[in-house]
Amino acid sequence: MADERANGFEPKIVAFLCRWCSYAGADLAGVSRMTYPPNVVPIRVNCSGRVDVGMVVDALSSGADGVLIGGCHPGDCHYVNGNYKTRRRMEMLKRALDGVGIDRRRVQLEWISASEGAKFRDTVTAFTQLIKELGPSPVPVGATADGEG
Amino acid sequence: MAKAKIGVYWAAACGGCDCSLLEVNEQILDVIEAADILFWPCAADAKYEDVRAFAHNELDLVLFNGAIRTEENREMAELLRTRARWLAAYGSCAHTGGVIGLANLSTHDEIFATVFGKQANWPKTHVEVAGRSLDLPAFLERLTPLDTVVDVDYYVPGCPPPREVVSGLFSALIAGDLPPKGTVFASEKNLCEECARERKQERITRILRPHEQEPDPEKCLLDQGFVCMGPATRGGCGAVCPAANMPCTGCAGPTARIRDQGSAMLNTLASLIGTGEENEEQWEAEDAVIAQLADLFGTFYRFSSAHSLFGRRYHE
Amino acid sequence: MPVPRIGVFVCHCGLNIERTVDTKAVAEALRTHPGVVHVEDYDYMCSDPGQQLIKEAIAEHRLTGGVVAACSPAMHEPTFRRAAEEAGLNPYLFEMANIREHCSWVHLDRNEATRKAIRIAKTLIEKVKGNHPLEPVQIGHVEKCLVIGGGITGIQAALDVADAGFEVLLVEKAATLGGHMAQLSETFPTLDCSQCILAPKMVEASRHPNIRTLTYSEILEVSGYIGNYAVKIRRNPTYVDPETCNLCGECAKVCPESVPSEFERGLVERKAIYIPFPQAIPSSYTLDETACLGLQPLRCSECAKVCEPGAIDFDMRPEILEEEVAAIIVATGYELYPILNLGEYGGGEISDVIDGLQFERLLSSSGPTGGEVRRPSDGKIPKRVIFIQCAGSRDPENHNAHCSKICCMYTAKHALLYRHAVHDGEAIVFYIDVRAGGKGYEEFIQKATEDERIRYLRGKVARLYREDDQIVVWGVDTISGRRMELRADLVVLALSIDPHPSARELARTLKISCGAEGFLKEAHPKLRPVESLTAGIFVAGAGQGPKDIPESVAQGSGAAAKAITLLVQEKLTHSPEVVAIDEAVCGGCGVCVGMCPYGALSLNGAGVAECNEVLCEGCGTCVSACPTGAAQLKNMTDAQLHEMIEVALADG
Repeated sequence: MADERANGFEPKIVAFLCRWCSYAGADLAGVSRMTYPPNVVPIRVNCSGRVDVGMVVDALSSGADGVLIGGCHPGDCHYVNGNYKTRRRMEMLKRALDGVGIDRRRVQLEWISASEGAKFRDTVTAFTQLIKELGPSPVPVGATADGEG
Repeated sequence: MAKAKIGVYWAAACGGCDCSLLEVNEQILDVIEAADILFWPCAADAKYEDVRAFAHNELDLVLFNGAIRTEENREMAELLRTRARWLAAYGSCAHTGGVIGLANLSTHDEIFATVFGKQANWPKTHVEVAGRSLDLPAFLERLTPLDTVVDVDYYVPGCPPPREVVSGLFSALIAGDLPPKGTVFASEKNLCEECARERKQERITRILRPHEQEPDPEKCLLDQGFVCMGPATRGGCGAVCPAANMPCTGCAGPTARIRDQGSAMLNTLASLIGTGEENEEQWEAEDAVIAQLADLFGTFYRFSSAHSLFGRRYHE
Repeated sequence: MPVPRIGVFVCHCGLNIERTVDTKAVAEALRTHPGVVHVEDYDYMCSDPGQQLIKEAIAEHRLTGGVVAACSPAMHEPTFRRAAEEAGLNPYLFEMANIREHCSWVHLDRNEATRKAIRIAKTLIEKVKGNHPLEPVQIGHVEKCLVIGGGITGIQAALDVADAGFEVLLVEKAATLGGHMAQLSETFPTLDCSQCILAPKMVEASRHPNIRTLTYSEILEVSGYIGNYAVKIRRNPTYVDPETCNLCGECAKVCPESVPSEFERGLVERKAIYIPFPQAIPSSYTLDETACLGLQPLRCSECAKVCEPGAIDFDMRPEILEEEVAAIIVATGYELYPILNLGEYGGGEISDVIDGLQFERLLSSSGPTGGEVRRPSDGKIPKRVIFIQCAGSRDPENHNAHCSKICCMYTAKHALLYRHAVHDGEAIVFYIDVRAGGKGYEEFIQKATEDERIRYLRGKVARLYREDDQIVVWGVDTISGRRMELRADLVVLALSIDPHPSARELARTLKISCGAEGFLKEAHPKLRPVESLTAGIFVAGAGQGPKDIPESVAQGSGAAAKAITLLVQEKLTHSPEVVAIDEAVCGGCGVCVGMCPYGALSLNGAGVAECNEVLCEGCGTCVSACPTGAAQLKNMTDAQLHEMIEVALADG
C-alpha cells in the first residue's frame, strides 16, 4: 500500500449509490466498521435508474479514473424496475467506451443490497485496486468544453 | 439607414452551407438591399488582405461555416472575430463539429494514409522550391467547432441550416433586430414536436437500418425500430427528414438543456429496448438488440462528436 | 435564486468522527468554498444544543441553506430538516453529508479520511446551492371506498371500512356474495360449517348502512388517482326484482332450459332462472339471459306466468353507474387450474375424477347428493377414494410452478370427512410434501395420518384411466421405492390455485400489475403485502396469491386499514421531491410515459409531458430516459449533479 502511494497514483472514483440498497449497504459497511480504500466519493441518488450515460460521461470527463454505480439486485428495485434500465444504459455506454479506447472496466455497475455491507467493502476495494492497475484515466480533464457558450 | 455589412467564410467545409444561404430564394434580394456582403470566398473573389483591412468590428455579422481543421481555419476565425461585431457559427460543422468531426476518431497518420497513400506522398507543411519557401497551414491535431477557438455570438444549427431558419436569421438582420448573444437559431424543443407521425412509444425489439426495410410513413420511426435522432435533436427544420420517410440523423445538435447529444439518445434508446417483461431472462435478448447497432458514433454522434468524450480516441 | 448563504455544520459525533476525521480542518477547508458564509463544528449536532446552534445560525447569518456533515442521512435527515423548519427555513434546503458511515468509520489514515470528508461535504454544499424550497403536495379526496370482489376477503374489507364510518361500494361479478367459501362444506382446522360462519358476514354486509352492494356487476372503467378515482360500473340485469322475489321457486320448476350449475361445479344442472344457493345474498332468483331461450324477442315467459308476486321484469336493462371513490380494494379471489390441462389425469373426461371443490359439494348437506358421498357416474358410495395432491402445482415444466398452499390441508380435511361419512371407506393420499404451517394445522394433519384407514403415500401419480367401473391410478411410493397401481372408485384432484380469470383484465383497467402467474402484484412481498404499486389501490385475499381463509380475512382487514388511513386524513400529503417537466423544452416525444412504474406521466392536451405529483415516487428513471432534459427531479437536477461531480473530483 505504502509503495503504491509512493508511486503517486491514487485513483479518483465517483460512486453513484441508490438510496434504498447500495447506499444503505455502504452505511452498513460503516456501522460494521469495515475498512476500505478512501478513493471513492459517494453520491446518493434515489434509484440507480437515475444514473444515465451523460452523468457517467460527465464524471469521466471531469477527472474520474473510475465510476462505480450501485443498484438494487434485479427484481428488488425499490422503484420496481429502474435498475434494469440502468443495466441497458451502461451496456450501451460500455460499447461506446470500447469504440474510443477507454477501458470499459473503468465503469462498473454492481448490485449491492442494503444488507451487503461486506459486498460494498469488497467491491470498493477490488475496484480501487483495478483502477490502480489500469492507471490514470486517459481522458484529459476538461476534454468536453461546453458548446453554445 | 446605413446598410449592414456582412461576411461569410468557409473553414473546413463542404460548401453546402454557402449554398443554403440561397435557399431563401427571393428573400436574398431583400438581404442585398439591406446589407452589403463584403466577404464571401465561395461567391466572390477576395483576399485575406481585404479582411485585415477591415476595422475592428466593422462587419456587423459574419456567418462562419465549417470547422477548425487547419491552422488557416484558426487564423481566419481569430481574424474575423476581431473584425465582426457579431459572429455566428453557421451550420453543423461550425456549431458542433459536424460530420467531419468524426475524423477525430482516426489519427492524423490514419487519415493521411487513407487520403494520400504512402507517406512519401503526404503533403508537407514546409516546402522549398527554387530557393523560396512556402509554409502551408498545419493540420491541427483535432478538428473542433468554432467556439473552441473564439467567442461565438450565435449558433445556426443544421447540415445545412434549413430554409426556415436561414430566413429567420435574414429577417432579423434586415430588420436590424438581432437577438441576444448566445441565441441558437432553432427551436428549444426536439423534432418530435414538429413531426406529424403517430407515436406510441413502443418498446424496441430490434433495430433497423434505413436500407433494411422501407419505413411506414405514418408511424413514428423509433417505434418501428429505426434509430431516429429526432428526440435528442433541436427542431426548427420542420422535421423534413422524417417527412421524407428517413430517420433524423441529428444534424441540428442537442436540444437546449443537453450537453452531449449522443449520450442523451443512448439513454433514450437503451431505455426503450424491451423484449419482454423486465427481468433477468431478457438480458441476453436485450444485449442482442444492442449488438444490432452497427456504427455507434456514426449513428449517435454523427454531427456532435467533437465536444463529447467520444470526440477522440484514447490510448490506455 | 437568491445569492447562496450556506451554513455548514461539522459534527464530531463524540469520537466517532473526530477520531479519524479532523473536523476542524474540514470546517476550515469549507469556510472558503463558494457560497458558504458560516461554518462551525460541534460535538453532537443531533443533540438539543447542537440543533439550537443550527437554529441560531440560520437566524443570525440569514442562511439560505445548510449542510450538516455528520452521520448518514438515513439516521438524522428528518431531525435536521425539522430543526431547520422550526428556525423558519424550508426543510428541503437542508442536506446531510455522510462523513461517518462512509468515511470516519471505514478509513484508517487521518489525512486521507479528512480529505475525503471535505470532498463529500462539498458535494452536498453544491447540491444545496441548487435546491429549491419545496412544499409537500396536498390532495383532497372523496369519502368513499370501492371493494371489488364479494367473497370472504371483500366482505371483510367492506365491513371494516364501513364500521370505521366510511361509505363502501361492494361490487361482485356473480349473482351472489360469498365466493368460493360458500361452496365449502367445512373449513380446516376447526371443521366449522362454512356457510354457518360465512352467512352472518354476508348478511351483515348486505344490511350495513354504509355498504352498498352491487352484485351481478362489473367494473368497466377506472380513471383518476389516489383519493379521486372515477369508476364506471355496469349492473347487469337479473330480470328479477330482489325486493319482490319471495324465493318460492315456482319459476325454476317451469323453466325449460338447463345449464351446468356453476355453484355445484357441473355436478348437476340448474335452470336459466335460478338461485345460486339457498342463502344467496341478495336473496333473490336471477335470470341468466345466456341460458334463457331468448328475451329480445321474448320467446318464452313461463317463469313470469307462475310468478305470483310479479317479481320478473323482462324489460330490465343494464345500468351504468359512475362513482367517485378515494381508494380501491381488489379482492378477486381464485379459480382452480383447468382440469382440461391435466391430460394425464383424464383431462376432465372421466366423470369420477373430480376436483376439491366438487368434492366439497358432495360432502355438503345442501349439495347435489344431500351430504352423502356418492360418485358422479352412478351414484354409488365409493369405498376407496384416492386423493392426488399437487395436481398442476409445483410443476414448472408442464403446469404451475407455485405451491397452492391450501391443498395439503384441505386434502387431509377431505380424507377425514370422507372417513366420517363412509365408515368402511379407505382413503389414499398421494403427496410430495405435507405443508401445514398455520395455527393448529400440524395437529390437524396428525389426525388424518393417525387414522388407520387413511394412507399417505409419498409420490406423484403418473397417470390414471378408467377401467370398467373403477379408476386405475399409476403412482409411486418413494419411501418404499415401489411403483403402485391402485384402483379407486373415486379420485379427487387437489387442483392448483390460479388467479381468477377476470383478474388480468381488471388489473389492466386499474393499471395495476399482475405477476407472471397472474396473481395481483403487491408493492413489496415482505413489507407491503396488501398495497399495489398504484397509490390508493390495495390488494387482498387469494387474488394476491394462494392462501387460506384466516389469511384472506387478515389481508381483507389489512387492506381496509390502509384504505381507512387514507380516508381518515383531511388532506393526503406526498413528498414533493418529484419530477417536474420543463414545458419550454419538452417536445412531447413521450418516451418518459412508458418508463414510469407508477403511471405518473402522461402527455397532456398541449402535447407536452405532465407529471402527476401525487403518483410520482421520485426515482428519476424518466429523467434518465428523457432525451431533452425536460424531465428533471426537483432538487436533484442534471445541473446539480454536474456540480456535485465536478467538486467530488476537483484537485486539491
